Amino acid sequence: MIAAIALAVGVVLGVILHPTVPVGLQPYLPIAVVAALDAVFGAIRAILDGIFDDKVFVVSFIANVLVAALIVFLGDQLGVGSQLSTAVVVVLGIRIFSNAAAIRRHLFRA
Amino acid sequence: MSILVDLMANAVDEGYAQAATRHGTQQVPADVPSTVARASTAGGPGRAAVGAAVALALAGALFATAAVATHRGNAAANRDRRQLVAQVTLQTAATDELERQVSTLGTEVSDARTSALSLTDRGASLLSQIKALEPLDGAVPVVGTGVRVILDDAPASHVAGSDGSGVIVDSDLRAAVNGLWIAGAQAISINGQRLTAQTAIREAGGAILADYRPLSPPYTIDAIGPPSLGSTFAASETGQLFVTDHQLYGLGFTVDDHQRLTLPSAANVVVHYAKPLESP
Repeated sequence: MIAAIALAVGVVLGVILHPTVPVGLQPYLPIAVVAALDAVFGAIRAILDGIFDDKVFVVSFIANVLVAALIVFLGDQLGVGSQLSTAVVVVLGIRIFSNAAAIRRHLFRA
Repeated sequence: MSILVDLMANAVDEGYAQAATRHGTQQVPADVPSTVARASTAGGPGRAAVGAAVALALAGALFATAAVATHRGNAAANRDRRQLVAQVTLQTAATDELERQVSTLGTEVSDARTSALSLTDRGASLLSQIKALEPLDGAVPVVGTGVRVILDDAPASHVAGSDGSGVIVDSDLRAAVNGLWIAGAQAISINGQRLTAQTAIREAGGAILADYRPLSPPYTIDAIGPPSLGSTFAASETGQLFVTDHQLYGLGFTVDDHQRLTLPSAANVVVHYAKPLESP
């Protein structure tokens, strides 16, 4: 409940304030979004599995976003930025998908 | 493959399971709200819960920012595109209008020149000179008897066509055009494009360009000249060469006499060196 409210508050803040992303950080925004989605879906699945832990969520969320951005940054510096961001999106996409599948199994028992 | 399998199997962060064992939380399917409450209390006295809420709010803000940025970017791109399209349309219309003006002014200049020159004897002789030269430099469209030479690449099925020897290149077109000039042609066009003394026929990246405009086969060369033009050209060295190429490599080569050919004026006739006399 609190989680849903916090998420909604964040969305509303983002829409109202629509902070401008610095040009230098713009390439990492999509990756950060995918990483955050992954953390959120993982948390939902953990809640349904009954093993949710606030601290793990906070740490995994922040670390995922930063590491994903860092990987892409590193790739940019080495000239393989687009390939590495594809890799990050594929890996996190698979995780999001299988977590979503697990959540579906929990909710619908199917 | 094992990485992918691993990814699918351990989709949820391992940290959750480890924390659960640390806190002794049983991994049994339980009522969701009570589980959340239990997990929250297990994480500490509310501080971690606040942290999670803040992190979630951050995630929400991140999603919203990304969505807003994407939509704004799309809107901006659409606006830019619409503006560009409008500009293109506007400038095309302006160019058309200017071309109409050029044509009108050109007629006026020509009329004014004719009336001014016809006043004096010297002017009249200049006028007749101009009338004689204009068709030659491509400034005006011309009509007359002539020949139509059609050059074409050899069909792909031809034996010699595979190694590129059956393809018309720029030097072939130059040879044909020069052969026609030598045979007495007074005006020539290729594929409806009038040639002037300054026209360059060149090849760039496999395409033949005449005055930087691409030509594509078959190449129809219209030439206006004396009635003997066709036979003179066919009998010339160049003509014989094309006949040989036709027989050996299957190049398309035909020469037909035409009673009435119409050649357009050249796209732009520019004077590079001549300057008007200072008026006395």
